[in-house]
Amino acid sequence: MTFQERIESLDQKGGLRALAIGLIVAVMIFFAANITTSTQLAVGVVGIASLIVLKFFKKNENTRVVFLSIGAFLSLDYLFWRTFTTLTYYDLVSFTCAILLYLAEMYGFIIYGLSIFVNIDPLDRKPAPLPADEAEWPTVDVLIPTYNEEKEILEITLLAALAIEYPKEKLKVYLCDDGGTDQRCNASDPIKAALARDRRRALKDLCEKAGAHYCTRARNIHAKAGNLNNGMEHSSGELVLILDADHIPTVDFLRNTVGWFLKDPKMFLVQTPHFFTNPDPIEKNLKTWRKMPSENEMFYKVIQKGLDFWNAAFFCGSAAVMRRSCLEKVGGIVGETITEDAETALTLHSLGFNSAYIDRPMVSGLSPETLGGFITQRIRWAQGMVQIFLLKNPMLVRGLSFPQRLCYFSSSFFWFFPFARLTFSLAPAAFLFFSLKIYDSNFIDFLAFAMPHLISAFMVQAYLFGSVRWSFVSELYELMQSVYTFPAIVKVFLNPRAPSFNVTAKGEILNRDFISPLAKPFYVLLVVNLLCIFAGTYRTLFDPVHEFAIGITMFWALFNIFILFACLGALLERRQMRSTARMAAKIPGRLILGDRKIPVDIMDISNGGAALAIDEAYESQLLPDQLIQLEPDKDFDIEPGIFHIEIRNLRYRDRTLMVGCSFKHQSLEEMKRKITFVNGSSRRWMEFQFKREKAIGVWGSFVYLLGAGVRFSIEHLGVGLLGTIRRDRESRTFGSGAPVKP
Amino acid sequence: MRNRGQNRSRIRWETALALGIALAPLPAIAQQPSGAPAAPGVAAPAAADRSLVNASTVRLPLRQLIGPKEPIYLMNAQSTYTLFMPLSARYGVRSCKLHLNFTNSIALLSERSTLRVVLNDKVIAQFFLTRNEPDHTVDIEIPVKYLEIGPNQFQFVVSQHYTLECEDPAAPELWTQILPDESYFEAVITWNRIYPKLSLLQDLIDRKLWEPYRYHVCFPNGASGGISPTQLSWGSIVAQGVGLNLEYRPLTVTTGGALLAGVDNIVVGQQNELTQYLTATEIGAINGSFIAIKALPGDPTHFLLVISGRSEEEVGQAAYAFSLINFPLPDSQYAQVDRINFPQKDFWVRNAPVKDPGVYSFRQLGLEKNASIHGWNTGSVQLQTYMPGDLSQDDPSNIELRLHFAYGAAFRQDSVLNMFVNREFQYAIRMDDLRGAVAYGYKVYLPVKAFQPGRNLVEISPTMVPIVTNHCEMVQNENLWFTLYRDSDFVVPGLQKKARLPSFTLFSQTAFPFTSAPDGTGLAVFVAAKDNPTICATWMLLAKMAQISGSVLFRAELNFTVPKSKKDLLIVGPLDSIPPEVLTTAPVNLQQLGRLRYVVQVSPSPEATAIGPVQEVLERLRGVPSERSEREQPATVEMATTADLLDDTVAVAYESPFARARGAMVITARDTATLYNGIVNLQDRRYWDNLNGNLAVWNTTPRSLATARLGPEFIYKVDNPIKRTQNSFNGNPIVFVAVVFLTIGLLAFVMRYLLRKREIKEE
Repeated sequence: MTFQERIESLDQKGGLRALAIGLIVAVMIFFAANITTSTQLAVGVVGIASLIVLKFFKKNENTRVVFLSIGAFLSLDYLFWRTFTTLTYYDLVSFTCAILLYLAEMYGFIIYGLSIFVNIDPLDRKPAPLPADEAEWPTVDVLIPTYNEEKEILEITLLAALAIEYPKEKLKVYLCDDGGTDQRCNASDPIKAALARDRRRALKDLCEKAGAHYCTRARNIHAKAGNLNNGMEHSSGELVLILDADHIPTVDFLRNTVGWFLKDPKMFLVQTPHFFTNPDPIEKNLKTWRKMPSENEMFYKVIQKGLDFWNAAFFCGSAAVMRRSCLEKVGGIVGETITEDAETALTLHSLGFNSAYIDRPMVSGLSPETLGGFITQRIRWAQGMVQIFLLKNPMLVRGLSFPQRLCYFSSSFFWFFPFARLTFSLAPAAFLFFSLKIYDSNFIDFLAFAMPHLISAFMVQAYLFGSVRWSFVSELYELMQSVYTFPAIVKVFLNPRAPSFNVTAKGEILNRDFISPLAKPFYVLLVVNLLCIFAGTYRTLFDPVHEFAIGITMFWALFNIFILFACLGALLERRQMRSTARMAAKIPGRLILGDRKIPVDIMDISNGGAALAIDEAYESQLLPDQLIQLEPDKDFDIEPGIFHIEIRNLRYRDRTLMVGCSFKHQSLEEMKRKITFVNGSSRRWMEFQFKREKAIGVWGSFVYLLGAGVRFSIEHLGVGLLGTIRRDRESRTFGSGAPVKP
Repeated sequence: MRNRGQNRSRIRWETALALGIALAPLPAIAQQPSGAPAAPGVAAPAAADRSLVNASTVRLPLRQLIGPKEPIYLMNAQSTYTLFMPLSARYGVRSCKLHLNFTNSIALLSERSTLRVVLNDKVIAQFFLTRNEPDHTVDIEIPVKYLEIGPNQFQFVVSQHYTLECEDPAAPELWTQILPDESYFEAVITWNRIYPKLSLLQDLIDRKLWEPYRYHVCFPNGASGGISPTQLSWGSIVAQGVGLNLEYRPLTVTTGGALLAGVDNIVVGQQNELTQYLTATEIGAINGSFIAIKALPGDPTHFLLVISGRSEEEVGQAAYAFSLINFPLPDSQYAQVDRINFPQKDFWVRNAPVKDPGVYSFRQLGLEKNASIHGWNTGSVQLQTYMPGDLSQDDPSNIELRLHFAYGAAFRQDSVLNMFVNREFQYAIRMDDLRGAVAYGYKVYLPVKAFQPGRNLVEISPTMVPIVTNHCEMVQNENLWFTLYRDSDFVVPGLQKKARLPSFTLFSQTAFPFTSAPDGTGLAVFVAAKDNPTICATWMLLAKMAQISGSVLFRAELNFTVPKSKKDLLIVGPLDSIPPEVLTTAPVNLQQLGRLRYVVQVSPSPEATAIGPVQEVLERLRGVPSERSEREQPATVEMATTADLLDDTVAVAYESPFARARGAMVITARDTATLYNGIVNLQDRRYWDNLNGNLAVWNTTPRSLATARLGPEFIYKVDNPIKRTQNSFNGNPIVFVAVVFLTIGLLAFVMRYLLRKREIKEE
């Protein structure tokens, strides 16, 4: 009997699982072992050294589990020590603060542990091929829910949906309009009612011209979930593709997703990533766009794959195909919470249905442009996930497997981060100002237990997410949100059914730089932490008794200041004039000037226009406002045809004549071709993502963020103190962020 | 009377050890008149008995009142040394003197330099410290009226100057040395009448006696039929009880069938065997485990203690109850022990070692009140702590002190708080805040290596210097205050346990390994001869061990046959009675005394061979050098000689021949009398405190002690497998690290296999 056969035989008898449990118990005994500090130090040193060595073998899949196991061991070792050694009662106030800090750390531990569990073996699922006979393909309804989005945005999404490569008789596109409901058309405010009626008429016309179906309903009940359910009542396809109003699908969307429904009859969902063609406000304000992976890539490039491994990939509200029969079993999209997407997936998973996640960007959407919009979106997510935690706690819902419970728990529990972040931001002050004893340790023990944990935690994070999430970026995003999501979460706790669905504003334009009205709480946090440094310096000079504790907390306060500088940099809202972001490209083509054709290279492109590089010899033949034609070459297997363009400007870049132009399509068909050319290829988005997926390491990330944080926070202070740019009084309302609608 | 007695029997006397003793009906013995107690410090009125009128001279060397090697130096312009002279209530002191031998610096200015002797705050003598005659021998008559029962405070106070002008009060030539080995107290005493109450047992078996305490144990058939193993065990428990009551003072015990005049007597036996010692009425009062005390017939200055019962079990229980009495109750002549409730865990009468890991407040270590110290160089706070007997001397961890203290303002910048462990300096804190300070939770780390198994002394000693110390300037020291709060903590980490045996050092510190279980469960005592001196020698040795460990080894197995159990083995007997089988693993053949091995020196092998930083790190990971392998065996030369033990007593320790990793020790001499005297002398600190190695030979004529290390070492076996593994891991970090990471690796392999299976299924 070979080794492999022995293992299989052992596994069949359940021995392998028993062995795993036994080994886990053994590891737990190691934690409880009363070993000396020097032995512990040896464990830490060898553990970290092992991680460093294993990092070089990252491509070998077998080393991944070993790496994560060692990281988890070092952190659990710290957890035992932290729990049983460092919580000392000195006085009530100190102990209360110590427990708060401990709970914040415990939050981090639970999330960290769940993160390792979820991502231990991410599933890189490939699209399942469709049968050659198209008659076997299921019918699909595309539902595009809308509430207040502009017609121009909806037009692009509708045309792109209609351009999806799928048998025409099996594909129907529905625009589900909640902005033109009877309730809104008959609103008591005559202006609002008129606007709603105009909107209904315009969108109806658009659908008719494009070949889509318009549907609305009597009342706006259950927000997006209700809207989608209404759309399902008007349609009858076997599968439903749900697209947000700004989510432009690629032509291969259904070809890459529908196959899994044929392969697995219990499949209720195939989710795909959300890909954004514009920076979110933090990326934009810190100027990290195209350099650093987007914030959502950590979720869509790694975590969803990890969830998929445990059959727990969940519906993210858009860019997903769902099976109608499954949805009907639970009464359609479930809307008890304001995150109807995750709630629906949770409910269907608990009924034994399966989900899949395909990591191929097949929609291109828009991030919120302002911090106000961004925070509004995150408050909704936080409140919705906390609602799920309270009302449909994954650990208590019947029907889920244990891994699924952990996965959903991880997704909902994650949103408690504001408590931890704010605690970490204020904890140094508890010691440095008030001498509260919140962490009872000595230098040697800290070195032996805490340092290996801290180092390994950073290494594990970098190992799991390094190429899609730079170090300290999580801290930045979480702190940015925490100040505002914390009270929102408290409200949910006080009344779990109270939150209402707020639509995230998209496609806003900012016509100048200004300080976000959300900045004030961050000034307070920054001042507190700066004062901590002063207090720490003073105490170092005059209170040598606690020099170790002072040193650690000062370092901690410095770290907070580093993050807060980056926050301040992000809170200086940058001017943004384009509503459609341009994507870098290198597509050869020709300009048609009468009977002449001039060779050009398309250097960037968007639905609005393109930048063309032309030999300077042709400068004299080109004039601003000139209407000409552009004939790009085939790109990513998409035949573009000829587009009408208008020259907007001419300028030189490195001796190359750059021509800025905007598309001036002459027909709906030309517009459809342009949308397909610009947004129709998932390969283009994959290539774009790939270019910015690079790990720069913990130190590299620190230096980058420190540079950006210091530079932009100084600009921020300059704007704030010197008033170089006048603040717009109208922009002070929360969430508006001084947008100017196109 | 009967009813009254029954009522009283319901009264429970519970000690901290849950010792339940109910008062029994008043027996006839209590009806007999007994002598009135003597007035403290005053000789009892002459009685008809000659023991009252026979005065004797007793002597107490100063050395016995201080540490074994501690010098008495009086430094600086003013200095005080304090010691306490004990005085027993059993003594009637007729006269007393202090024979004092001291030497002063020849740089002292005679007319301004004095030594005064203060007894209980009264100056009883003063002397000029003369530069021309620096060596002094004086006899100081001590007024008896100033003496008190209990500790008497003696202070030696010097004022020392070298000039009439301004001077440096800390000049190094300002010194006087008192010679404790040549100085002594001498008293002419008579023995007072005793007051027979059990509550006074502590004052009768009195640690304040200047001479070794003597008592006689009577067994009903001790004279005729010899002592049975059960009686041997009872005698051992009684001896340990007496020993514990005497703390560290030596004792002498004799045994026989008849009462012995002139000493305290303890009768141990069953109710029906006591006719030769008690009246019928007294015997009739014994209704269970019974302890009673009365004056020795014909000698009111000594007592007769009765330990009895109706069965062997009841006698054993009474003996054990006697050994645990450490509280002045019951205030009666007799007590009946209904039951003894043992605590659920190991317990000690005193000297309980710290548990690890654990946090102890200083209050638990004896600092009952906050300690305030005032003045310049005027003392320290001393804490006693007891460490487990198997504490590894290579433990690299630290004991943490969380000090809560306050100090006064306007200290000079070099004022410090020094910390000592067992008189060795460990750490200092500067007290340099001119405004004074209060520190709460100041952490200080003391290496575990500084501690020894058994008793340890932690001293926290403030050296406070006033900010103005210039010559010819008024120096005030009212600001020199230091307070240590009793809620400071002594944090014991997880200690590494690994005892390297055989070791007389460890034996003298903690009686390890024989006291590894405080109740003696793991100890088997083989008394090689049945004669009384050998038996008494065994009891005295066990009593000394009980004193050291602070516990009664009541579960120790005592026998006259070779115990071939897996226990630690203690063998006591004259040389010719020791069977060869118990000596098979001994490093010296005691049967062939003509063949001896002598230790010689060879060039030692280095403990570490690392010569570079990388090797050093690797060596550290492999474990501390002494843990890596057995220590180097001492080189010996064996020579055949014609020799005899003569008056020597020999002790040798080695690995038990009957169980691996267990200790064995033989104490023997040429004959029983020599053995008896040898054990009596062994209790003397000059012998006991200097034991080391694993072979000791001592004699009193002339006084000598020779020790050597011979034969192989072994690591003492820890019973608990978890502790054993833990010790092994701590001693060999690399093994622990290897086991941990191999386990993780195996776990990762299994998880990877199971995950892969799932992955294939998902795909």
